[in-house]
Amino acid sequence: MVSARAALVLLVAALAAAPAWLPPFYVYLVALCLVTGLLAMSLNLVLGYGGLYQFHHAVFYGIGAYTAAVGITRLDWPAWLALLAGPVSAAAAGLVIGSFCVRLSRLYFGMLQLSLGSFVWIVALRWYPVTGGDNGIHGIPLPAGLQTLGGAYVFVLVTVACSLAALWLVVRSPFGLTLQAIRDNPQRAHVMGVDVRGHQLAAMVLAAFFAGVAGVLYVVLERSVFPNMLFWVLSLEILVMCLLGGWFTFPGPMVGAALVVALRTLVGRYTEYWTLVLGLLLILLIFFLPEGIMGEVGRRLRPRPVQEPARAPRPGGLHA
Amino acid sequence: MPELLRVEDLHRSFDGFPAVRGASLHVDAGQIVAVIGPNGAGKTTLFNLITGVLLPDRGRVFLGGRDVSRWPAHRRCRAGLGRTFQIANIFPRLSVFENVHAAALARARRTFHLVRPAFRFAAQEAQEILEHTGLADRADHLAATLSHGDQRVLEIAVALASQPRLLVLDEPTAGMSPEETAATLDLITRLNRDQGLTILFCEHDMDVVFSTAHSVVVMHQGRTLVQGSPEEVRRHPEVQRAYLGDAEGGATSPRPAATAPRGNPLLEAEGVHAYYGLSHVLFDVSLRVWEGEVAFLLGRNGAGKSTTLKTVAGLLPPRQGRVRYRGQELTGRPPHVVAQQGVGYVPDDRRIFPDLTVLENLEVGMRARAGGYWTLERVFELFPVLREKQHHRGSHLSGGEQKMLAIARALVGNPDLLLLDEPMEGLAPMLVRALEDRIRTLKASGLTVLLAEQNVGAALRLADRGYVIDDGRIRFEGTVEELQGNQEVRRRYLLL
Amino acid sequence: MDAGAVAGQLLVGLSRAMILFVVSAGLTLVLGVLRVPNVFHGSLYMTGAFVAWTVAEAFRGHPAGMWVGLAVAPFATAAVGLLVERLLLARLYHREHLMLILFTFGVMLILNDLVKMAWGPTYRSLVPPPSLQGAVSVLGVALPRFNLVLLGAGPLVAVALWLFAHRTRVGKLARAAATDRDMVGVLGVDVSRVFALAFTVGCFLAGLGGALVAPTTSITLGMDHTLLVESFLIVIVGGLGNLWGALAGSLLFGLTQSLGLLVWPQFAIAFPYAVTAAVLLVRPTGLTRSAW
Repeated sequence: MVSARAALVLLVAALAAAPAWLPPFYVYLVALCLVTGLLAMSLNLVLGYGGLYQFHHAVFYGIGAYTAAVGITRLDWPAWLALLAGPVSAAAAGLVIGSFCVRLSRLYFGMLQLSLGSFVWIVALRWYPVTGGDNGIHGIPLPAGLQTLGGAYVFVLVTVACSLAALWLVVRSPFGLTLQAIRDNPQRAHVMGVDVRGHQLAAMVLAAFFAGVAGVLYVVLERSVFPNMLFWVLSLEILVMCLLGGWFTFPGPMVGAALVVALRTLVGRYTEYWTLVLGLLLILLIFFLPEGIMGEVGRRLRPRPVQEPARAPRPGGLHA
Repeated sequence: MPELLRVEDLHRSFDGFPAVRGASLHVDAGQIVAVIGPNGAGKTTLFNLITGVLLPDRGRVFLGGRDVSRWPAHRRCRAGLGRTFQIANIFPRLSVFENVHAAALARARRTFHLVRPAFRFAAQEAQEILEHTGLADRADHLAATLSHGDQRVLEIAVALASQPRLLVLDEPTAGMSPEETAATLDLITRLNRDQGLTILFCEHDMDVVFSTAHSVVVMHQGRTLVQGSPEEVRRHPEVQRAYLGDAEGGATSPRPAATAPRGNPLLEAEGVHAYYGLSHVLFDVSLRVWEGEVAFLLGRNGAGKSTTLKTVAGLLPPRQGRVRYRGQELTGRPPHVVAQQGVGYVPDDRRIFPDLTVLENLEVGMRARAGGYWTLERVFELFPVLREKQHHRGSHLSGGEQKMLAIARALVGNPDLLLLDEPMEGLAPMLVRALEDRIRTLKASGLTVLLAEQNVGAALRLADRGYVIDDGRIRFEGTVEELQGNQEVRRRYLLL
Repeated sequence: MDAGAVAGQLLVGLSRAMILFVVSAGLTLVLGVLRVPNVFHGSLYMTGAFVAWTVAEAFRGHPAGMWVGLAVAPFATAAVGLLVERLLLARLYHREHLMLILFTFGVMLILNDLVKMAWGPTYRSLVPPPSLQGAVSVLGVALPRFNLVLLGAGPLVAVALWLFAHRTRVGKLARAAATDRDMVGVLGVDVSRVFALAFTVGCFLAGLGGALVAPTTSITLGMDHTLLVESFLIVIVGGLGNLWGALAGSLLFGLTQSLGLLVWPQFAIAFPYAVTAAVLLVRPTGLTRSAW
């Protein structure tokens, strides 16, 4: 425990000092890992902890980013206000989409979300005067402190750290424990007197909020937004990150996201066929490492083997 | 003593099939009340109606004098009704402590608290329950890694965390080893004695019922027959009739003398151990069936009859032991290979393909081995109602018709050995007679049958010799006459 | 707006609906029987279009080229599907749903890059034979001649699938396996072969859909992306695993979109999504009885 805490402190210190000892491109890359990692971890709150088929999480990321971008460039909001409005509008979208979806179960939940999310995507794609259509919005002016890479990096790091701390509190809170209980056995939780849909909805709003934070951070880092940020392919990619890192662990999605972002950059140097590599990686994972990297680490550290829960005959589900 | 629960004339149907049709009982505060009844009697449905998982078509449920008939489950839970389920129903990826803690948090209505760590709330309470139920030393184990028996105890612990006034347990000792069963009974008795907890449970294991309950309710075909003290119930004539059938009369009716089995058996199971997940359900089961005979496999509900048949059919590969058919190894072969070898299987829950017509259901069955004695024409002769309804969808048949279809579907595959799982269960007496005649016809046609039954009378009228199974272990092997002469076996393993 | 424009849009929407139906019928078959939401279904659709183009090109403008392409493409994608199912997917049926979805996503990523390797990022177009070029007047509306092929193909596929499901042995087995696979095994049927066949037929239809769409659009990478989401939604709206549901969903999708063009062209493609969401809110498990 002590060594884990020490490692964490060291890691944060190294990250904080990154601009001092890393070339700018790598500073940018680290920041991108952090932003994507936050996005994946916000997804995992509903996926790994909540057991929900959140198939279109990128929508909330996109809504957060677009709100900030549109607020600054089209509505002339003060930049800080626009950055703040991003997560709030993402959370509002989470509330709306979520309140429709939580009425349905599993696959239907995911599919309805895909449907509503695609609707939002089309609006972003077609509403040229506001969203810039398929070009997106570029060169978004940022407040003074965020204009340099160094400033943006520090802002990203601090915001991600605060968000992760908040997520950690949520996961450890009575709400977090209840959410996991619902994931494992919603019927049982319901009979215990837990408001299952209420908790799922609250989790979706929280997850959407932090996805919105990630979206805003992306704007800070890249100064641009584009419709692919809320396309379903990105949603599946962050699902893969959660799986890769281990979706039943807290830090797993961050690890997965960092690996995917780093690999994409590395592989991109040698070949244009990055998605082929990602696809192969995903299939290997499914066959050989279904609990993900951190899940496997946890399994090895645990004195007793973590067995699969006794399987019901069919049909399968997260735990059915 | 004040009455805590009163159930009045509950009814509930599924797709026209009345699972519960007239169930009444009452539970006084401080009592342990047991509901007994054969498979399909409607016990689990009744419990779901009492706890609010299902709502009744008619009838009422009163909890502490209040009419809760239309209340949803979670509201009844808050009103003091805690329950467990027949299959371990816990949170597999949470630790043992977290399982109980989550329930305690729900009881304390703290589940929406977002900031402070969970252990600041209701943790003491959860810890005490773990100590009480003997799970404290496994508090940080993942629930999924517990043994089956411990998982069932954990379920009780989770239910206790809601601080119920009435605890409803659905077959609390199902699938447990004898040691685990004893420990669980002890726990139930202690909870009742030390904490004054009122308990309602249903059970298939009659020893459990009579040694533990203050009051026993008997259920049969969706109805409650009688409620009274264990002694009253044991002597009640209607109960005797419902359960024992006319087993005594069976001996006097003319029946062919059993021929002593000779030569190599058609089917041979040897030292079979089988598991559902973590729970060990068959222990060293060995049995043999010779060509041309009808062999019985008698046992109470949950004794392991269905599991034995599933193991032979290839649906549940044994973890130890072997199954041979005509001397050939069948152990671990997939179901379709077993079927192609000539083993037909009729499951107790019928498993008709609901979207297919009767004819199409039969066509699927013909895949196993076409071109034998059994043709469509012959099964239609055997069950004329199927011919009439051949273009109806499977889901539109009555329960009895589905039974017939399930048998017919197995027959058209021309098996040499038919595994029949409780063909009479849930059928009206007239249909039972008719079906018995059909089974005799089958036997006359040279078919070998392994008949799993809990209805002793019917099985003894039909079979030549066979086995008695209890707690997943074979307890008796012999002819019908030997079983009829063996009071001890019948009392211990088959009687109420 | 005048009646002619509405009728014209209706016919265009109907043609589009037929393509959607062919593709989503395959998807719903796989969902119904195997319970696998196949994410690479869209990739096979794209592959079908490219294969049809390549075959047609090989004929150097001979009018038969398109027809041969139409015939070859579905078999090519069926072969891909069979290979993936036998080698990999068959080993995953006992796993969680999410894993199956992610597996098919992985195959999608790989297939799409393979298509990129084989055909590159440029746009291709398949020119239909002269007899199918130009427009034909239907009810006073000018309709691209090739759309007649589409309007014929949809009902043809529907009838063929119905005959397959209700008149062939394996079709009946597939329907039985959709509700109780273990019981089908107990009756002496090797269920895994039924699964393989159903999956192959599903992939065949994806390729057929791609080949059918090829002469009407530009063939390019990414053409699968929106189609996949659309056909998923069609299947959900129609009721998982239900053939007629897929047909109803396709009509709903195709018609609302083309009629939307008359009302609000810029957001026409958003109409079907909104309608889908509305339907799911009213009937959470789709229009027809789901096979699940």
